[in-house]
Amino acid sequence: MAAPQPKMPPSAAELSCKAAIVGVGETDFAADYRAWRARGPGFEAPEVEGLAACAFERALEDSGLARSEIDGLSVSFLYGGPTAPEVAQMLGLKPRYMIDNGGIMAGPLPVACAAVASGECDTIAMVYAVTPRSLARKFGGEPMAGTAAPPSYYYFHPWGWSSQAAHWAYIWRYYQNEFGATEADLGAVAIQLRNNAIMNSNAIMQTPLSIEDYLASRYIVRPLRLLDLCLVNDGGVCLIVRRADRTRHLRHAPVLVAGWGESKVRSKKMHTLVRERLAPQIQEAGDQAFSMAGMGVSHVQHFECYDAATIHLIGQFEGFGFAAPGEGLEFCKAGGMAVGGRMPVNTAGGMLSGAYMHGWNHVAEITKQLRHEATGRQIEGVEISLFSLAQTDQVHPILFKRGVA
Amino acid sequence: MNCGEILWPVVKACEHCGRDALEWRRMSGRGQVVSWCTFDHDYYRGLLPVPYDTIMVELEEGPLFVSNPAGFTAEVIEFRKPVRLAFLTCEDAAGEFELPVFEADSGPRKALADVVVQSENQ
Repeated sequence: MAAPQPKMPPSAAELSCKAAIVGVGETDFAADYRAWRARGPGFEAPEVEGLAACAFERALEDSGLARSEIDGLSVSFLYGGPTAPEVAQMLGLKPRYMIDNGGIMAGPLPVACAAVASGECDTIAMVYAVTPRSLARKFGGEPMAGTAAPPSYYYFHPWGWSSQAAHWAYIWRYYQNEFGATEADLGAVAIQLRNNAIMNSNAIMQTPLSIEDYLASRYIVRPLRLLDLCLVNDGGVCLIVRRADRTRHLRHAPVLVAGWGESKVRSKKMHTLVRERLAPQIQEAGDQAFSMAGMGVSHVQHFECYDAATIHLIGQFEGFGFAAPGEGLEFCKAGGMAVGGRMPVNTAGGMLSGAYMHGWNHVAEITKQLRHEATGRQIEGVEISLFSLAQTDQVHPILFKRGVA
Repeated sequence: MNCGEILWPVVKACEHCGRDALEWRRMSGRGQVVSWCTFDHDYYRGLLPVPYDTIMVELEEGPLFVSNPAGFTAEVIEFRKPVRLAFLTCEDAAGEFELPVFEADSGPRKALADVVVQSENQ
């Protein structure tokens, strides 16, 4: 079982830009996915230990730091894995600060930044790995033995309403009725993210997608199709986060963590999710993050969004005000979400076409973009990126800023 | 005194005022379909034959109630279709139970709509 998530540190201005991402490592999402699909002779299903070690070694190499400089460790194994002390031993680290911190992105990063800001460690390796594909993890139906499921997964079992996708399906049906949007309109999101993925060699999906392909893809929970829902794959990501005052003269420009927020739905969960697309939570958590960072939404030049589903991306995009309610799909169709568009979104392909790494992939992409090293898909001159993690009942944005190299 | 908030699904304490002195209250059983979806993917591994429909009903009293349509399918649903409560006898490991579902409501609400249309035509 994943460890419970520690409390988020406050969205306090004095914690803004006190820590920066100085190293990033990812496993071979695309190659590993192809290997799993082929499962040829000698194929061995990956395990989180190996994925975590691979991501860590790459991040350490990327940072240019010595192993001995890593004095903090945060581990996030969403579907189970070794403890932080076990990982420290495996990676040859002697951290003075260690934490087992849930799994999904947004929570662990602010906690790590606060640990760095308070002097508990100077340089923390944040390691995440999951193997939902090898575990044949289900995302609906009867809860899997020994796993915690959000309440919305079991409240409605008697009526067969259970799955992540069903949440987004209700949202999309409601949205269609509210704004007169069509299925082809929604397909534009899947196509845009596929186009983005094609510019990222580590993205799992590399085949161009037409609207005909989209409309021919099978329904999972109607009105949502396979291509409206995120991938399921095995992989790991590691981020190395360091005291911001010790990031000069490193190998890459530091990526400062400027602000964060957290807002959980406190009442009328289904109403807030389906009819408001979490707008009150996006507003509240967004205000916290922007206020902490001393910025406004107009400063954002790049948006990485937790794209569990096409329509969920649109809900967050509109919720932050990048388009008016009901206008997000038109914005996408007009090319506004492409690199070079008015607000580039999920430039590495997101979870829909890139890799399902629970938001860690989005933060890895922000790191590359703000370093100006996103080869083949670089947003020109980008200085500020926003990451939004929205689950069915909570929203956690994080703001990032390019630091001085 | 409680705040009178009507809560569904079941919660431990009122989401509005925080009090835990909750009581069951009978609803009118009438509402409107405000969203719906059809499960094509077999999440329940054959337990529930796919495809099957689920609906989100806005009860007359306000709360949203996830349920199944009875006697009609997703193909004929229009936004805000009026529905009324019905019960479907089911059985699981704990024994027989009555599952609240919703059937098309062609009662007084439809008549009211008819009156409005007539007055517009005059």
